[in-house]
Amino acid sequence: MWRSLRENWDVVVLLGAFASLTVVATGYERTARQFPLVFLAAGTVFLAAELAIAITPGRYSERLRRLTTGLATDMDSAVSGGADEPGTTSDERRYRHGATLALLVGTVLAAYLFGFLAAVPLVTVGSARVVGASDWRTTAIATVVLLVAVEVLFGQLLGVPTLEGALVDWEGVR
Amino acid sequence: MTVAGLAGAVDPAALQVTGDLIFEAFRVVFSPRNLGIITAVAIIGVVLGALPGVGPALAMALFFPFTFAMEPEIALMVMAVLYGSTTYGGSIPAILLNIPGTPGSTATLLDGYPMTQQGRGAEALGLSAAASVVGALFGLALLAVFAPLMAQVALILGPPEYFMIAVFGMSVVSVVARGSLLKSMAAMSLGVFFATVGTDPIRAVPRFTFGTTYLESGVSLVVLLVGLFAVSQAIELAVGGGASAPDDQPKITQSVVFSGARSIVASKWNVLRSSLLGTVVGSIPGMGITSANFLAYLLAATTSEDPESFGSGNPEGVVAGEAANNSSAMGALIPAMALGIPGGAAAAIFIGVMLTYGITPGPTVFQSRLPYVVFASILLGSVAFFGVGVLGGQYFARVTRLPTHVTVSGVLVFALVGSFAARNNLLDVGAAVFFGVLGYVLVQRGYSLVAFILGFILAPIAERGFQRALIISNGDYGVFLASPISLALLAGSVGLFFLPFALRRRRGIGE
Repeated sequence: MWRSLRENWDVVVLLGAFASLTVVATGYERTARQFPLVFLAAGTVFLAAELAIAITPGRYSERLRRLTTGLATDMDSAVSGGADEPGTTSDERRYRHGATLALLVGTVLAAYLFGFLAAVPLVTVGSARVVGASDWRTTAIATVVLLVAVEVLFGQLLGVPTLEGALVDWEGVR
Repeated sequence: MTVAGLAGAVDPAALQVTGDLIFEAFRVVFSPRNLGIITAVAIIGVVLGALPGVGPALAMALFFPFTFAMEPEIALMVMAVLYGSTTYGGSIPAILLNIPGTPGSTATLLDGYPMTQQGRGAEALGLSAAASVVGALFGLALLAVFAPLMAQVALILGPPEYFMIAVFGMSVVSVVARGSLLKSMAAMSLGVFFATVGTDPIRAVPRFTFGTTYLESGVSLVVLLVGLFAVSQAIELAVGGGASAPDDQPKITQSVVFSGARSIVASKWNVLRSSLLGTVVGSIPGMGITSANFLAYLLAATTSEDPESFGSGNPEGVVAGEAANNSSAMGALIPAMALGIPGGAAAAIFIGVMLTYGITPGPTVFQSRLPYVVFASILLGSVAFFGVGVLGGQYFARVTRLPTHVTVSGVLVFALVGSFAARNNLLDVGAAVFFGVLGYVLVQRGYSLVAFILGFILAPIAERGFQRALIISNGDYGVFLASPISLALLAGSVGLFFLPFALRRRRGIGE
């Protein structure tokens, strides 16, 4: 059972979130809570059922799984065998998951501290590192093109302060 | 509105007004500036669609922030053209590289790529461009006829019926779900939850704000869409490594692309049948382009005199898939423009742009020239992407060689700056990253993003209908069963919800 719970961690996490939010919603006044409560309760029931199927032993679990599989799945399998999926090992994926998350957090932080234009090189170089690309010329060209695109499309056209950061304000340069 | 009222909608005076609006719309769209914009957006759309991993929803989400600097008509014109051209662009890598540029082109590659392997890639590109434009124009014709009619029907609906329509839209998730039905329904509930963050629509009581002022204004649609479609796709490309094109790509000759396009005449029944199927499938909330693409392919294969040749380079497979996915894009706009119910994710973004400008989808929209500007833009946009596809097929094939990390960088930069541009609030950038990670995890774990978006878009319609109906009836829940329309919608919703379970049980769950 513990193994099933571990394998279905997403269902456990979401079930916990739905149950907690249901409790939070019950504290609101009637008109505010009615609608979200219906769907939070429904979501809790769906996820509880999914979890119950996951921890049901062997043969029964398989039958229930088939009963609750979407009809469109059959359509997909009828024409499967098309696209070649690019292959990556699980270690590589784990590294890329961590690196991509770090890149996202780093980009938001850099944009906050130094402004969006300063964050662009971090994104291009970081993406190249995550994917494992070694062609620095392509990265450099992509950086320049994106810097110009961000400044022209967002800075000039939409008036976004692309050079303004909490630590450094480059707006005077413009 | 009564039946007589509905009949009044087609009286000569009304037709005269509609004719004037259509004429005015064409005058707007045919201005040199707007023709230039349509051509430019068609090119950008085909390029974005040709990039593996970039589909109509992602492209439209990235463009969403730019629409803030545009007039409403131009914004919707840009989105309409982008929708059609991106859908077509997805066929280019499907045919040349065996990689669907968009999920809606997955069935296209089954015969498109074998044609390329046989040295018929240029012919397949021409066929795909011609089938796409016929599909788009066929879908447009049905959109132009049925969206105003459906919007007229909306006039006879009250709050209980609106609530029931939204519930009906949500129950469709049960039929169109891939993988676990329970996970798809949970994803829809999660979408509803995020839509209820902020203040409630009747008494403005703050809900799920956890004491923050940021959440009091609710979850921004732009931020949510950019996060779910752009950031999550960037993560997917970065983690999955994307798909790179081989250097020895087939030679594409313009004259062969042309003759391929001309050969569509031989497939006229297939293209019309697939276009009709695509429009109908696209107009059903949640079904989407991918389903239309697959179903049309299966229909073409099963009705063919030579079904065995499908999968080994039969041009009819390319024609069916491409006609259906482009017509379904137009079909998805029928309930979107008439009732505010999206047929798919890209149509949800289209509704989002309308709502951003304070335009509520429904009958009142058709009293202005706006929808006719959209129709005229789609018409010209389809012609533009056909021209772009046929004349520039050999150049767009090169786009597919763009390294994955460049695509990832471009999508991330535009997504994050775009989410900031919506309200100049850095917290929105953090929220976009949150929704990006959430979207990625949901997809990886088998939850439906389309169900999530349906829940998010339909929840406000459902809640407004629900609360208003209860106010009108002094809290009597019987109001939801009082009219035949409500009852029929309720019966339909219950039927749709249990249909997959019933069908599985009938077939024998142990099979």
